[in-house]
Formats: sequence, C-alpha cells, structure tokens
Amino acid sequence: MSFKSIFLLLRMDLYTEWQGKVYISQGLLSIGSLLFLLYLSTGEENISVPIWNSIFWFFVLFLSIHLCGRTVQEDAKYLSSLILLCSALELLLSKIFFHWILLFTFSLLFYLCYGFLWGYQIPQHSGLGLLILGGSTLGLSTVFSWIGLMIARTQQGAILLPTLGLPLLLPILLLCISSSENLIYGEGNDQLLILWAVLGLYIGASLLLFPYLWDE
Amino acid sequence: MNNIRKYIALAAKILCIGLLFYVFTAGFYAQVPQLPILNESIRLLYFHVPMWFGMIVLLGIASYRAICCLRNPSPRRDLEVLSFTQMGMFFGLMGLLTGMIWAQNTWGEAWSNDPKQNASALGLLLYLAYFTLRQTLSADQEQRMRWSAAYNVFCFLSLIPLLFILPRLTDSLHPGSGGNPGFDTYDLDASLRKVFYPALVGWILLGVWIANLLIRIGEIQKKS
Repeated sequence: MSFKSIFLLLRMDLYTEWQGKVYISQGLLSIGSLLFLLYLSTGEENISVPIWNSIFWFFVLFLSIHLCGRTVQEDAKYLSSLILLCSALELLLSKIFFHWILLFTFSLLFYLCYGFLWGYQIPQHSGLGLLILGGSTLGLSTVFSWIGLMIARTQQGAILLPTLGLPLLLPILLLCISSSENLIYGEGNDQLLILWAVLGLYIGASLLLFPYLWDE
Repeated sequence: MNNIRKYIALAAKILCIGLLFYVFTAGFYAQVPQLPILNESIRLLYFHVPMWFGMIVLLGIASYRAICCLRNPSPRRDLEVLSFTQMGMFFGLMGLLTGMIWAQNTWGEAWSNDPKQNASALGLLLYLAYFTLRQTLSADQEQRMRWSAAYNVFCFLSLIPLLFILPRLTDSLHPGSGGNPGFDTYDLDASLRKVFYPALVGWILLGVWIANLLIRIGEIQKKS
C-alpha cells in the first residue's frame, strides 16, 4: 500500500467530480429541496430539540446513501480496469476519503442553512459538534464505501446499499443522535469518546476484512 | 484423534441432557426467594438469561468460523457459519419472547421501550440483513461465501456496542443499569446460582448440538 496511489486515486475521483459536477449539483439540489419542504411543512415555528436533531441526522443519512449509491453505479463501469492498477486497500481508502470529503462538506453546508432557518443548536460547543459530525460522516462513508464497492463488484443494483448498510450503521447513528442531543442540553460529552471508539472498531475491521474479499 | 472427538461429543451430549433435565426439575420445583413483584417469575432467570448467553456464544462461534472461512473458503465452513447464525438468531428470538413474558408480569407490559429490549431487537434485525445478503448473492457460490462471511463478522462487531455499550448509557429497567442493582450484588442468592450456572452450560451445549445437526442436514441436502 502506498500513500501516493491513494492520493492519485483520490485526486482522480475529485477531478472527475469537478469536471462533471454530478454529485455537487445533486447534493445542492437535495439540500435546497429538503429545506424548502421543511419550510413549507413547519413554517418558521420553532422545532423542538429532539425533532431538530433527528431531522438533521436523517438528512445526513439520506445524503450518504445518495452520494455513495451514485458511486456504485459510476464505479461499476471501470472497476475491472482499476483492480489491475491498485491494491484493494488503496482503492477502499481512496473511496472512503472521497466520500468523507463530499459528505462532510455537504453535511456542514446543510447544518449552516438548517441552523440559519431553525436556530443553531450547538453554538457554544462548535468544536465538539464538528468532532461528532466528522466522526459520523467518517463512519457512514467507511461502511457505505466497502459495501458499495462490494455491490459494484458483484454487479447488483444500488438499491442493496441501504438494505445492507443501514443495519450495520445503527449503533453509530444512535450514538450520534444521543451524543449531539447531550451536547445541545450541555450534559457532558463522554459519549463522544465512545462514538470514536466504535468508529475505530468499524474502520479497523473494514480495513482488515476488505483485502480478503477482494483477492479472488 | 477421531475417536477422542467422538467421545468428547458423546460426553457433551449426555452432560447437556443431564443438565437440562436438572434445570427443568429444579427450576420448577426448588425453593426460590420470594421477593415482591418478582414472586415466582424469578424462575424465568433459568430460561431467559441463558438464551442471551447462548446467543452471544453461538454468534461468536459463527463469526469465528466466518473468519476461518475468509482465510480459507470452503462450502463446509460457509454452512457452519450459516447454521450457527441461524441457531443464534433462534436463541435471540426465544430470549426476546421469554423476556416479554417476564416483562408482562413484572413491569406491567410486554414491550416498555426498555433500551435493552430495543437494542436486542435491533441486533436481530442486523442478522436478518445477513440472510438477505445470502439470498441476493445466491447465483455465485464463491462470492456468496466470502461476502456473507465478511458481513457476518461485521454484524457481530456491531452487535457488541448495541448490546453492551448503548443500553448502559441510559436508564434501563433491566438489572445492572440505570441505578438498578445488578444480579451480582444480592439478588442472585446461593439457591438461584445452583440452578442458574448449570442452566447456562446446558442451554449453550444444546444450541451447539442443534447447530451441528443443522450442519449435517445441510450436507446431506447438498449431496442429494
């Protein structure tokens, strides 16, 4: 495994993305339409904290399925030639970073717009909030990347992605929702440590298991 | 070597039958401490709690076999993973049902949104996705072996935070969390322990036994 090839793969992904702007425009479109839908359904009323929180995390989840599902379809076309050029771990890591960059940017953008309309809930703990958002998007992109690559390899439809990925992500999502709610109420942040510990478990396991799957 | 294994298996089967016989007689007829609310329902300790221990052990064996299957794939190992997972799921389902009976009689309702109840139901949901994966990949044997084994290991990894970390963060009606006393402190007195520990061993042995039978049935079905 070399960092140079990971970097090259990542740059290739980002470059093609910047050329086509498929994900970028789709991400912006879904943020805009969701905000408009929310505005029409609730007006400018205050949303209670648990609902604010769960809508936010649901959107992050929706966005991750959306972005990673598109990659499954796009990558399936040239995966067979990529396998010859790089190792499994390099491919997986570059995909994780690519999804993480996109997902983190769009979640942050959504947080800014969402908070502008319905109130920023975590202004005094923004550093910790960023840690939660970064961790959760890393977990989502890790799990969806390896499942997405697996689906692309077996040439199944992208519809399998949420079916297989969602159950695995339940612990991470539950931890995210409860830790960000704790942050909003100012009830300590010991769950943040547990979130990152669980993330470490997930990332380690997927990096260890993936090479066994790939070499056939 | 083969002979020794045969004798160990036979001894385990006899032990299993003996222990479960003891558990069913002593469990229903022996004296139990009379506590308010719990009353006679404390006897479910011999049937409800071993189900979860059994589930963890069986799913642990399944994920261990899955790791073996990933390193060295063979249809036999794949069958072992499948059978142990099926048996673990069955134990989990039984644990959920016995827990609901117990909850109906002590907490007032079968499903009271207790974090442990929710987490274990989610855990079973996780393994349902494993069976879905096996069904979708039924065309290619080799691929199905690898992917489902990897998914099984991942399922076990996400089961651990679900069952052992998340429920402890919030208040729960179960003993040992949210300020409730754990079983170790004073609830589990000597007379309960005398049946509880044999029950654990007996139920786990039964689960392994049935899983082995499932493997043999699967092999016969493959041959015919």
